[in-house]
Amino acid sequence: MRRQWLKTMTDRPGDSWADPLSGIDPVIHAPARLKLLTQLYVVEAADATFLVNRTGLTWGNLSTHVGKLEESGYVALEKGYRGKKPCTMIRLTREGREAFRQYRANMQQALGDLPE
Amino acid sequence: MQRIDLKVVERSAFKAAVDTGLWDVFIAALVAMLPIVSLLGGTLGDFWSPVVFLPVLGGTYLAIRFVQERVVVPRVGQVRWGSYRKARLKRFTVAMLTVNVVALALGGVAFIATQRGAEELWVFPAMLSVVLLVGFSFASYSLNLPRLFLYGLLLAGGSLIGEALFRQGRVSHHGFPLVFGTAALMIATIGLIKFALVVRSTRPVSDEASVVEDDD
Repeated sequence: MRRQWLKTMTDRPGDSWADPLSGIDPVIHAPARLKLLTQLYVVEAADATFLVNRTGLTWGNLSTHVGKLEESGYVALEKGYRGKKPCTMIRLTREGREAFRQYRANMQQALGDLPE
Repeated sequence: MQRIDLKVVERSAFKAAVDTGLWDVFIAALVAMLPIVSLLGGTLGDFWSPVVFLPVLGGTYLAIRFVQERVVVPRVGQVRWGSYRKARLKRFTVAMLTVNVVALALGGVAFIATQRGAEELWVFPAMLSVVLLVGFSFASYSLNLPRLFLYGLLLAGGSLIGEALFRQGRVSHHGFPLVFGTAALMIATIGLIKFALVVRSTRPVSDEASVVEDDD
């Protein structure tokens, strides 16, 4: 109890204790990207058609958000062919998978103890 | 606000990609083999009647793959499954192989039993029922498709009903043509309705890759 009080007194503003939401990754937190990452987290890879169907995003939105996630290193594009047609598969990178896991844990921790 | 359950999300993704009704049509073709083979048995014999049906089954499989590639994938998209689903599919394959091996062994036992005069014990239809129910239950559980369990019940019950009708002298060929023919028709209809709904609710994408590649 005393140790906790001491920790409270010595914590600086901006520490994770002081602001639990500071650990929330803004790249993942956007609803559209959260939807995308949730779908990609449960599979190994999926193409754009599948993701558009599953998330309800428009093609333009999907393209923008996949671009942002790719910039952050959370997703990777695998360009290939299926028969003679070009086919791009989108997959979570190891960092993306870890970031999503961390995001989940942070959200659960940040909101888990809210009073009703 | 709704809670995000990742297992539910995974199951739903799997259903969206796989449950397009086409595999129901393939199951219907497999079931249709029973009445057709039993009807052909009289003229072609017990060995050649199933052999003649195999190209039909192969043709159905190829047609389904063709429709899958040309109609379903451009609409639904494609997925590579994660380790959880891969393990589940592996278990499903092993379970199906085991069921088939056990079915073959039981078929041998049933054949010997009927040769020794156990016809009255309903050995063959009872074994067929159990094998069908167990097989479809495994498939239903592994693939998270409850409909398959209902197919199992339909076919297991059908086997017994067909035998009962046969013993009453109402139908020929142990009731196979009537019972399994009807079941195949029902399963194919369900599959085709499901397929029509999938096609209706999605639009084909001719050049999906360009959408993501535009940002490069």
